Amino acid sequence: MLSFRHRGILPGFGLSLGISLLFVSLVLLLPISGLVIQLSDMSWSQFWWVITDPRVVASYRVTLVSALIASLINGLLGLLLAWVLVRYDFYGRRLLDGLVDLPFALPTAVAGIALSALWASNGWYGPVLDQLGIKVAYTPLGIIVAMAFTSLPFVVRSVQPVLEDLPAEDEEAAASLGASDLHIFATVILPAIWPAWLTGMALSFTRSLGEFGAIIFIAGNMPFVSEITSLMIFIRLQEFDYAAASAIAAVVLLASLLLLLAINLWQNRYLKRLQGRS
Amino acid sequence: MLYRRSSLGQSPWLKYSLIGLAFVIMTLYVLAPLAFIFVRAFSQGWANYLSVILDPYTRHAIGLTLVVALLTVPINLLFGTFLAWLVTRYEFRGRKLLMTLIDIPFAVSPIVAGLLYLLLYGSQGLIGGWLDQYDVQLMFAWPGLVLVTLFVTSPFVARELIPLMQQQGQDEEEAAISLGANGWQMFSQVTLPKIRWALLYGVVLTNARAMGEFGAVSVVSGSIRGQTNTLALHIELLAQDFNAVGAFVSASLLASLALFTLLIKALVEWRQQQQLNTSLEDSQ
Amino acid sequence: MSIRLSNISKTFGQFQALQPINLELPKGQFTALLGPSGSGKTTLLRIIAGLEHADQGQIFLDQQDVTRQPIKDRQVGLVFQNYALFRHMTVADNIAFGLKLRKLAKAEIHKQVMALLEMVQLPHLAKRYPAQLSGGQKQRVALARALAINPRVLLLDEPFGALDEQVRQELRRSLRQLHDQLGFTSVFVTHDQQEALELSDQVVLMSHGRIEQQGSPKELFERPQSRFAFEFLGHNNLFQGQLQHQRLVQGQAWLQLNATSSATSEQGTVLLRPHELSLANQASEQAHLPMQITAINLVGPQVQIELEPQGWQSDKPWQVGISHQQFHQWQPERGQLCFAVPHLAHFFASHDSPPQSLRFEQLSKSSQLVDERQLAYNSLT
Repeated sequence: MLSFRHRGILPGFGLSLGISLLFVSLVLLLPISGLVIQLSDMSWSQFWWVITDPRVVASYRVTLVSALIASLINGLLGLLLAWVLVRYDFYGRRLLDGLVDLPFALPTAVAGIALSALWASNGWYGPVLDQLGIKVAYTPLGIIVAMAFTSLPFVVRSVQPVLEDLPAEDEEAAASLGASDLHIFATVILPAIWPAWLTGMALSFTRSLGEFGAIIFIAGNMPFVSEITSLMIFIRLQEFDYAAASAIAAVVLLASLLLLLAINLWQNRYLKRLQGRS
Repeated sequence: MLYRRSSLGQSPWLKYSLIGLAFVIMTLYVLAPLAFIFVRAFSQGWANYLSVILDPYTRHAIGLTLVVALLTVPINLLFGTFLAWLVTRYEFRGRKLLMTLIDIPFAVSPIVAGLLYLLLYGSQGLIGGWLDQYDVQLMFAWPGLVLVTLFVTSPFVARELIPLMQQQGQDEEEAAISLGANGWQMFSQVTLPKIRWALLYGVVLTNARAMGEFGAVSVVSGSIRGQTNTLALHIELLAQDFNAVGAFVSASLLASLALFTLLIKALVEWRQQQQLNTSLEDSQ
Repeated sequence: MSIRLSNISKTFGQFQALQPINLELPKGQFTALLGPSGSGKTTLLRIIAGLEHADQGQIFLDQQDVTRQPIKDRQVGLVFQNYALFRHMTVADNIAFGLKLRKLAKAEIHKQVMALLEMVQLPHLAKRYPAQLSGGQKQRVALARALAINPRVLLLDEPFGALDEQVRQELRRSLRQLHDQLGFTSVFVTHDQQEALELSDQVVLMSHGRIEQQGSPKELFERPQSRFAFEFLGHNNLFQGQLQHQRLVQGQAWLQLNATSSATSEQGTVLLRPHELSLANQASEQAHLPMQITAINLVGPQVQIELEPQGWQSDKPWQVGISHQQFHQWQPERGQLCFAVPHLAHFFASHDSPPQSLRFEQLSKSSQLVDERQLAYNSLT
């Protein structure tokens, strides 16, 4: 796995390798091995029974559907924001750019309590929506709001650099051939940015799957309706059913690792293609 | 900015309606929740705000949050710097694997992170059971909070440093060595000044996450008031007590931390832009 | 300080960067490591410096085995391709870096830094930061910084690579002067044959991790020993053909070979260098190479004439250099027909075989005479 013959003469290889390996083993690998040990105590049928429990399955559905919708919303919003930030010069551009990062910087519990109160009937948005007959706080809609908030920056930050690097010549060439703005956007810009756009949405989706703090404040957490999978793990833990919690956690862990791997592979392929072109 | 804009989408009505739309959305979506926190926190005046902060449980939560951050940030600073040095300065097998491993905490749900530690260090766990014999309890106590926070925040410093150090290359370090510097002299006099801004931002990010972490710590904390309650957990407890103002006061403290983080980020980017500008001007 | 490399080899993964190399660089000489990118020249320099470990072999500085010695103890001065100046330090601090590490007194450091700045003619820039310097100034600072530690050997990686032509000329001259003045042993890496031949006492020509040829610039230029050496050291005109009765023939063109070269194979290639050719209105008795003039370049110490073969083929157009005086007498024009007359040609039986030089001295003299008569005749009419 690791080979210790290295290139270069800069000092510190042994020290940095030692510290890195020690840390990675103690902090990352050892705890994961704890999960493996816990799972090895379970039989397959037990495992299957736990992870296909109807309430848990409902939580998968709620989590996946909400994350999907949230990342699609962010896809549109992120594209708009990236476009405005890159293409236009205006008073307040830096402020807008800084605001994009706020959801990353704001602790999730803070986001959760703020969003739930804001969208609740006694908040700022709740009364307006009540008149329209829409309830967001303490419903599945709230989950989408929380997910979309916490993962907003991903799409913007993925698309922004690509949009910046797009040579103006391509668009000018298309314009000189008489193409309309919309046509240029669809034929020149979209093909260039869609891999980054998709990557951003995938990252947003992954983050939404794992979000916990912001959601439990606003979701209402009703079984079969607005319980997310992370919460199921939490509930099993509070019941001291470590085995069941571990089984569900294994599903979540595996899913997010596979997603991360897929995104990395996709990004590598896409980056290689870009580099091969230049 | 060197970037040349094409004329696409520059017609005034489109431009200003898109900018307007962006501002409206960001105001409703991001700015309003932030403002809401402070409005609610101060809804009963300054005196009340102060009295919530001075409440012994809140004070303890603040103290515990600081302790957790104070312990995790330096450790992760050290680890992140060594890891970044390792993967950007040497070519060795397993390098890619190491870089993937370090990303795991980003991908894993914080609840899963908490569970991993509970399984290992809890009284039924492999190490926890053994520690139990010596009456050492890590879970549902402050060391547990530190451990999970360490896990959750471990990628931040390395993630900030790696791209920068890759881009800067190692010529300057090699030059320092060839002039007779030893490892420490090279690092402190050549490497550190080059990466200090990214390092600072990495530290600030680590700190923000360490102080604000909720999911992972809620699993291993047990949320005992005055003992294992961090500020983020305190918000939830107060909300459950229907003490909304108290919850928002605590939230406003963490929100200020977030604003501070963004400020540092803007400062770091401004510094880097300035450096870039000077080098561009002079190369012309 | 002499440098001796014995059986040095290096691989990066599957890539053999250096085949086992033996090399001796005498004391006080200025050596150029010349080669295309990927030839291993920079790797070799980095191994001498101690920036890279060789897989095998030994390095000696003045008979002392330094193979295992870390770079910081080798006392070599290094000038990096992109200068690698410490970006957060002033020029003076950059130069003082090595001196401070040696724990010299402050006043002494200051004195030496000023002396070094004088030497590279930049005392007025002591307080500047690297980002505020031009490429040529950065290069001088890098040189001063390397010289500050009083190196036993000075190593330079593509020292003039990133500079424009005029600055490059000037820096080459001052580097050579410094070298002669201070008498250290210097090695520099370059891919520019002109730079290598102009600046060095000794050229080491490398390709594919091997030493192709080694010698003084004069030796190297006059007697390249391989096809690679020929091709790397400047433009070559190519004539490929079949061997028939001691002649190399292609279409209407032919070239007389001697007995030894024609015995070995059925076909072959002849390289003719622009300065070893002249042009005439008539073919010589030993070469029939009809040409048409396609371009004339007057800029430079010689007039460059570009030619297209007539009645035979060549992948690239031919080039011949004639003096401006000759040009004025002859007044050739684009489209004009003429013949290439070789004085010297280099025959290759195959791509990898060593060259055999063919002299056409007798002939070139007589053809030159014919030539000048012709020219005189032309100028009269």
